[in-house]
Amino acid sequence: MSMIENALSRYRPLVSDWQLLVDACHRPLPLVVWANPLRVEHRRRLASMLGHREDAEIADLLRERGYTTKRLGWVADAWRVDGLERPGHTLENQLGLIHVQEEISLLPPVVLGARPGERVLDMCAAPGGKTARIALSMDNRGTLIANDVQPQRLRALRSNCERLGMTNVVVTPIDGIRFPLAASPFDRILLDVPCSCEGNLRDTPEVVRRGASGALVGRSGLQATLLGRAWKLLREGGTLVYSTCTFAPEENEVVLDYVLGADAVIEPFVTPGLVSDPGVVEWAGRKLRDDCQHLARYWPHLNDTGGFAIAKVRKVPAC
Amino acid sequence: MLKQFQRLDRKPYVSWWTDRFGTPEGLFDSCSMWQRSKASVWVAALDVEPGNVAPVDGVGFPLLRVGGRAWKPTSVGLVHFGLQATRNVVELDANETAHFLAGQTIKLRSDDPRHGLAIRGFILARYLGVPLGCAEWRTGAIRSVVPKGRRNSAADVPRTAGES
Repeated sequence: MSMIENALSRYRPLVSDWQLLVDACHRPLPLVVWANPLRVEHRRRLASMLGHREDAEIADLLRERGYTTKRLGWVADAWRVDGLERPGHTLENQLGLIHVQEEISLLPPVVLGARPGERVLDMCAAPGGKTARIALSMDNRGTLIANDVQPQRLRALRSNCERLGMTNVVVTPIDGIRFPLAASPFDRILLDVPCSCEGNLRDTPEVVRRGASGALVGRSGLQATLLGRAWKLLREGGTLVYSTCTFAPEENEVVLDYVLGADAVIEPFVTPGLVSDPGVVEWAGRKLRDDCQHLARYWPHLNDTGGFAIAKVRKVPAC
Repeated sequence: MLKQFQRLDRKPYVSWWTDRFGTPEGLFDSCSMWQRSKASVWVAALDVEPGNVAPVDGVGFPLLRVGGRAWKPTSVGLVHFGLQATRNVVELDANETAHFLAGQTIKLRSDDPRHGLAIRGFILARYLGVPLGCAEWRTGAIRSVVPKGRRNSAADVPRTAGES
């Protein structure tokens, strides 16, 4: 049994196609780039000067240099790219015409559904790919507070937001568990919590070794504290998206069950073009809230992506 | 304790930018400008509002360094707001672009026609008409002032048929 298979064996009861999952986890992760709509005019000018049609896409520019591209079916202006070993070195990346991001991490901003003019918090925002997608869904207007407490990751967050030209982003360096209540209320909050990162194992196989050493339990406490704080910052009627790049119910459904009360509803959501498994309502002998079934779990083999779990929670008047 | 970001009257900065780069009036109409220290001016969306939160590390992104004798546009500011620049612009070829992005100085040959350009100080470097960032114009040389953290010594620059 491989290290990966061994580490994931605890999830075997949750997965219908076990061998497909194991096989997918041994394949490298496809590279995805998306085109920045704030740099459309830059792209047009570059394309026409390089002899393309003016409406040529980023994929056309990359193909010209020998890379293979395949358009994603579920999100606009994003492609899987083969052969691009150092995507960060392309002129297009340097000038913010594109951003390189794991495919499934494009999803939380879609589920969050932020709109122009809203006040939105991305509580654990670095390195900023999801932040940028939220900012764009707001049409680069309104206020998106992008927060992260780790200085090194904060630099990456600022750098990405600046390179991509995000003007509606306010960056804060605050410990999420103490994020000031005076800054509330927020219409929407993305809480992409620090986690054991098992879902990144196709990219970084070592993460499963860390997970196996007992890091799960420690993370759950921080995740619950962050969720409790975020819930206080959300306005009634507002939407919170809780996400992790891990499979463990201890870091997903169990945290939601522990923190959320009668003023929360975990809502179902559907993303055409993506396949997910439902959340669990019982784990390790513990019965969980019924609406935990609406959490969506993205195993790597389902869409040939990294692993992810997402719950969309609405704040309602408490009964 | 860091100072709080304050919203600024954007007029003097818009006026400087428009004058320096010949960009259209109204380029910054949908923007607000902010300052935390006397060194930098930041540009953000018009309706952005940090609210009651502190400390704040950034509002939008830095547009201008105004602490020195000469105001200096940021490279990210020029990439974002430099597409329609008509003044104080220098065009680079593909090799020069790679050198520029690596943070190097480009020395012009004595017969280079760009010696005759009526430009001065901090200027916009472009490749195929696309803004790359800020350069300093010196006699016979174009010095890249792309920040160290953004330099790239192995830039993959697309080339026109004539340059490949």
